[in-house]
Amino acid sequence: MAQERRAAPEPVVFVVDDDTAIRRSLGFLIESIGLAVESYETAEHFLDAYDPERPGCLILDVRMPGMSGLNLQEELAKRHAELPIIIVTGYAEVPMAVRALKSGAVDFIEKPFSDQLLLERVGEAIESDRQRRQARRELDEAVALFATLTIREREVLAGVVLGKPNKVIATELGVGTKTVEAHRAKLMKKLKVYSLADLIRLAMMVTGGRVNPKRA
Amino acid sequence: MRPWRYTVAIGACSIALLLKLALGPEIAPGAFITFYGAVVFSAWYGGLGAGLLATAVSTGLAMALFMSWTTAAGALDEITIFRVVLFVAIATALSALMGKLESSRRRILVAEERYRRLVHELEHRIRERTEQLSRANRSLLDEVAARQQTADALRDSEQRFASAFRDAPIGMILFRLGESPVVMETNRAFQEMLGYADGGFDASGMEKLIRPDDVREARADMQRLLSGETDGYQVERRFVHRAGHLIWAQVSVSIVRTSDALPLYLIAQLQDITARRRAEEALRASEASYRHLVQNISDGIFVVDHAGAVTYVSPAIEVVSGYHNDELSGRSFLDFVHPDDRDVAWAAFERARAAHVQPAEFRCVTRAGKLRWVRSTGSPVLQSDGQVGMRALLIDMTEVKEVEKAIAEREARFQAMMSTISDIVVLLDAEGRTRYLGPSVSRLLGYRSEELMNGFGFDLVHPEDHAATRGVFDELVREPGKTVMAVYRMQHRDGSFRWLESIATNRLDDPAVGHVVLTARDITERKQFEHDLRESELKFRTLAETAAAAIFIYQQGLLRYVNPAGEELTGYNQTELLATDLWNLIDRRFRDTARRRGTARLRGEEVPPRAVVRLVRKDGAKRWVDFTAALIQYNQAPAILGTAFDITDRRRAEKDARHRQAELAHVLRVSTMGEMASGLAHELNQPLQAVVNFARGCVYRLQAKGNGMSDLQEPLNQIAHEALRAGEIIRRIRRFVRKDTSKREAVNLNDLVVEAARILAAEAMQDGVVVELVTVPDLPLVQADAVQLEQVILNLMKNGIEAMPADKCSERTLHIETSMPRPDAVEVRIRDTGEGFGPELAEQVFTPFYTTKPNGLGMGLSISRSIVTAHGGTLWASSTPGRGATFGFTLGLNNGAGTKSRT
Repeated sequence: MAQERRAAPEPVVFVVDDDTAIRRSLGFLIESIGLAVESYETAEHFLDAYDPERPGCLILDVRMPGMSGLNLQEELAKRHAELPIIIVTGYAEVPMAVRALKSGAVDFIEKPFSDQLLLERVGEAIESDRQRRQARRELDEAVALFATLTIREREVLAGVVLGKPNKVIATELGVGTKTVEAHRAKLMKKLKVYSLADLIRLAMMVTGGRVNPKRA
Repeated sequence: MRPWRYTVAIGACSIALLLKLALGPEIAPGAFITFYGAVVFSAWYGGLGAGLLATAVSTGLAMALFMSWTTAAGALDEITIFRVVLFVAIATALSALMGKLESSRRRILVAEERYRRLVHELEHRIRERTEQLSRANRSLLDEVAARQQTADALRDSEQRFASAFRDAPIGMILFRLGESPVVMETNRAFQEMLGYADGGFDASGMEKLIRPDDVREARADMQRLLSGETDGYQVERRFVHRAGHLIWAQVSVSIVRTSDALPLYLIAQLQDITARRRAEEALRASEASYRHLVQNISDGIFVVDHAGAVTYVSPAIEVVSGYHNDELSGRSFLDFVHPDDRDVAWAAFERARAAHVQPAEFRCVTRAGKLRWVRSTGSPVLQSDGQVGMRALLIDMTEVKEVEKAIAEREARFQAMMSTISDIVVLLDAEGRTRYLGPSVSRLLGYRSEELMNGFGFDLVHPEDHAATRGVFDELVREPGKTVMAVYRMQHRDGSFRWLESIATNRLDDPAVGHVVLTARDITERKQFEHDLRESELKFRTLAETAAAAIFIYQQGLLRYVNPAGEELTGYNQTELLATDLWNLIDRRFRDTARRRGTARLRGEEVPPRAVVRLVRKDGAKRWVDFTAALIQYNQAPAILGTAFDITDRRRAEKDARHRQAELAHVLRVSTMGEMASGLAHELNQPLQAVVNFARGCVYRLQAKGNGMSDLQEPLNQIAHEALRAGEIIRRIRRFVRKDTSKREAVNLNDLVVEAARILAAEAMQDGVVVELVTVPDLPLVQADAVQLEQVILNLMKNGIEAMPADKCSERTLHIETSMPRPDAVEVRIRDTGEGFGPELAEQVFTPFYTTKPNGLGMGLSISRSIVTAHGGTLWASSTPGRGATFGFTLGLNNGAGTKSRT
């Protein structure tokens, strides 16, 4: 599947912290390992500038004037923004951490933290974001290929996925075996798969595990 | 007669001689006395002649027998002669005096004898005449009767009868009886007797003849006659003479009846007996006069005539009045009577003349102008002219009057006194009857004295007091001279009862008093006052007896009064307290101050009225009291009135409150610190984080460039490391100071103990103390504030370490162990090997500010205990002196703390 990867935009580490020293030092640190950083002073500024298409992760301070880190996290969740979030705080309290993790934060780190801990978490977050985005892209492609199939081809596909022999499929559809074989070859060409296993994986991805691709 | 009298004289002298001789010759003067007796007797008995004879004989005998003739005549001394002469003179005078007395007596006897004879003669003659008259009357009646029978005989005798009638020497009057008696005829003797000799006697004037005073009696007599009771009667009656004077006549009245007994005529015969009556009167008067003279010779006698003119006054009156008899005679007696009393005197005079003997008192004026009170007792005197005068006996009453006046004045004074004094004075007789009652009774009881007089004093006594007062009175009456006192109630006229206090004395035996003398005084107000006082006393007593505070009175070194609260406070009973020195009850620490203040207060000095002192109870326990004192007068002497409140509990509560306050202050301090630490942590963590970031960023960049500055990498890493360490310190501090009591969580005591041991490890090691840690496995969790409990454990451990100074203890081990003393509790024990302490300190060590450390605050154990207590547990200490001390706390698993909750 790696060979299927398209060129994607560079991941960016977004930093939202009211403390300038923290913003600048984090930027300095993260850039040191070759990652792009965008810093925002407030949650509101970040929301204004945020583009969900841009990959990366978000390092968020909890205590800030205006919208707090936790509120920003909830706002992003509402927008179905799936950007991984690492929350850092000056003083940690258990209830706060619980709330943050429930809202989908990747991690909850108490200041002062070591750079290793943070960079490790950042790397993990970018990778997970990347993978999530790639899976999404593949699914979109599969769905687009499936959309090119005719109804007869989909019916044949369903039978194939369920492991039925061509003869059974032909009987069920009321056509001849040859016809089934022709459809089968045609759809595999359309779906750009070259083995039965690839066909089944694609079908499973599109249907989300349900092997009934009729409604896809 | 005469020779006999002289014989008596001789005889008397002889007896005197014999008597003298018998008495003895040596009593020479006695001769004369016996002879005087002989002379007096002879003269008194035999008259003047006999007296003189006795004198002569006595002289002769005395001279012959008792004076010596043997001596020459010249030797007759002058004294003897003088005696003889004196004897003769006195004897002669006595003879004359006694002879005179004898002759006057004799004359009186003779006069009386003559009067008696005259009276006898007169009466005899009257009786004879009366008999004659009766006889004549009877013959007359016979004749009248005979004439009635035979007219001839009548006519014959008519002349004789008429002649006898007319010429009879006695007065006669003939009445015809009909509707009223009519005078038919009177004779000459009658007319002469009554002054009608020259005619002019009117038959109708019969009534005038009878004295008005006698008319009724005369009529009664007449009536008896007419009714046939008698046929005749005799009376002596006064008649009025034509000239106006009275004449006495003896009257015989007879009635002439017809044959059928009808009254026909009445015939009265009158005989003048005025002379006889007058003689009788004179005799009687003379006799009475002499009797007065003899009996009342010292009192005055005076006689006045019918007009009041004085005819006689006795010498006594002359002496008293200063007037001579001549000056008085003929003048009206009223001239000598005080003008104001003349009416009284004249009325008495008139009364006396009418024979109403009744004394009168009036004032007379003496010649010197002085007034004398006299009492005059008058009686009528028939004068020679037939008028009635008065003879009166006068008694000088002046002195008596003065005494009476003085008595009256005293009486008035007494009355005035009685009416002004407020006490009632009562005189009671032996039966308790009121005989005298002072006027004040009206003020006290509303009755006037007269209303209660003669009543029983007990009638008004309150029924409840009746028996008692009666008893006291009876006892009083039995014992003369006794004095008793009684308090009782009597009813006022208005119905209310008044309290009286009486003092009574039995003076029944005292003739001047003769009563029980009682004085009574109204003490109602006093009683009311006493009552009020008693009530007030009761009120205050109840107040004191039921007061929660101890109340006592202290005076002259002793307690005089202690109320029940005082007994309760001190543990002593009242008897013990009253015998106790107040100051000994006070704890020694306060005793001297208290005593000094007390004595100063008793001296009247100003000292603070309040103090908090400690008392030592009977059982030895000590109690704090809030003591207030005031100076009062008790039994007329200064005393201290004190009140004491037991404030031991209050003080303990105050102490607890202080304790809690301190703890709260600590909590506040701690929570403030926690808050501050939080803020601080946040603020510091930011720059620290920046330091870490920059430093590490530098490291990464240096690595990426790979040039020769690799020697900077290590310092940059150190910078980051130190910043992180600083952050860690801040975090730890913050966790330590945080005190959030509301936060309970499941805590494993083992973890706390381990952490505490770790924290103190460095210190212990530095001090050379070995720390032993024994934890029981599978210790149940407890709901607790971990920070606070850790604090407690740290505190106990620190104390243990400090209790084992290197210079005093050879073995220095701090043993910490966790356990489960019961299935539902967990426990931590921390034992040291220090010096330990006595059991008396086992509690004291927990009191705030109690410390044995040179620089200690004394708060550690106190705060620890309050933390453990707040967790529902107990913190305790035990020690054996010399063998170290053990502190520990136990927490229940179900200590009521809520399960951990998160918002």
